[in-house]
Amino acid sequence: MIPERLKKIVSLLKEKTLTKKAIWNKTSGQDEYKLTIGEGSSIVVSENFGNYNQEYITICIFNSGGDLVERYDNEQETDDESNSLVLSFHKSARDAYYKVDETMEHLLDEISKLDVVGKKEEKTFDLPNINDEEDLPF
Amino acid sequence: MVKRFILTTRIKIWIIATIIFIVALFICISCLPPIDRTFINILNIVGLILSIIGILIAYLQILSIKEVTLAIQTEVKESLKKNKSMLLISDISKKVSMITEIQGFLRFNKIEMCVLRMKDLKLLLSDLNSDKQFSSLVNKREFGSSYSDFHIDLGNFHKFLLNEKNIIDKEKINANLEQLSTILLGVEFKLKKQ
Repeated sequence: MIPERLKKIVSLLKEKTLTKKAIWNKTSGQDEYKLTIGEGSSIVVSENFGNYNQEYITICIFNSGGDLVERYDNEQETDDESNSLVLSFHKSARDAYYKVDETMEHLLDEISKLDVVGKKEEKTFDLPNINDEEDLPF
Repeated sequence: MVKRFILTTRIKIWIIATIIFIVALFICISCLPPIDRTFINILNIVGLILSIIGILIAYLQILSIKEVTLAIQTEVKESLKKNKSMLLISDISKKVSMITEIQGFLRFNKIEMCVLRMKDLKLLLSDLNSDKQFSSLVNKREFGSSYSDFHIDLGNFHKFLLNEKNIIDKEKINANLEQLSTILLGVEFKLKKQ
């Protein structure tokens, strides 16, 4: 089960993220997001694959000195509430980083406004200028 | 500097003592009635004045020894600080070259080697993070952020080694290492300027 204090932090951050009051950044992990708070403390949430390809969420907290102070993953989690909380937290962070809501709203707006949507994409290739007089390197 | 300080203090003491002796002797003899100006009395006065001057000299020498001790202590502290700075500079240079090495391994996709070197570097960075002199020269927030990125990158390498589905962004890791290297070089530059 997720520790009580971490649960409170995650719930608060999720709320802030959903109300667009949290700024997430991308890290070197494929599905990993970092949020820096106050004097440099940060929280990192990521989705990973385990040894047997099972997916799980990891939450790490770093202090202002950059040291890892708290780590939690739901790889062996049996509590449904904790699982759903961390999954929704990760989803909210990912959606905030990629601006999913804004993109969807923009698409809906555009589709409802326009009669015809989409355009034909024509691919053109710029061929390099070949000078016949130049000697070939072989 | 200390030797010159001792010499000047000694000369000062001797000059002051001689002046006091002459002045005191002159005052005492002139105060004596002419009938009492016998050889024995003058000898007594000379003895008294010399004893007082002796006590004064002893007191002044104690004071000067105290000053010399303080000067030596300050110099020892200064040289210790300089030595520490030199050690810190060589330590930082070592860390920067380790970062370059890790970037080389990353370029050739040698993730296991990256992990090994990053583990070594993690220990050294942890020592550096707790060093007071280093803390006074670095932007704590900047270093903290870079240090946490370093932990995240190391964790991502481990995850990649466990399962290759955990894709890593090498470009981002390279940029993070470069940022850390820049911070360390900044501290090294500040130390050299001191």
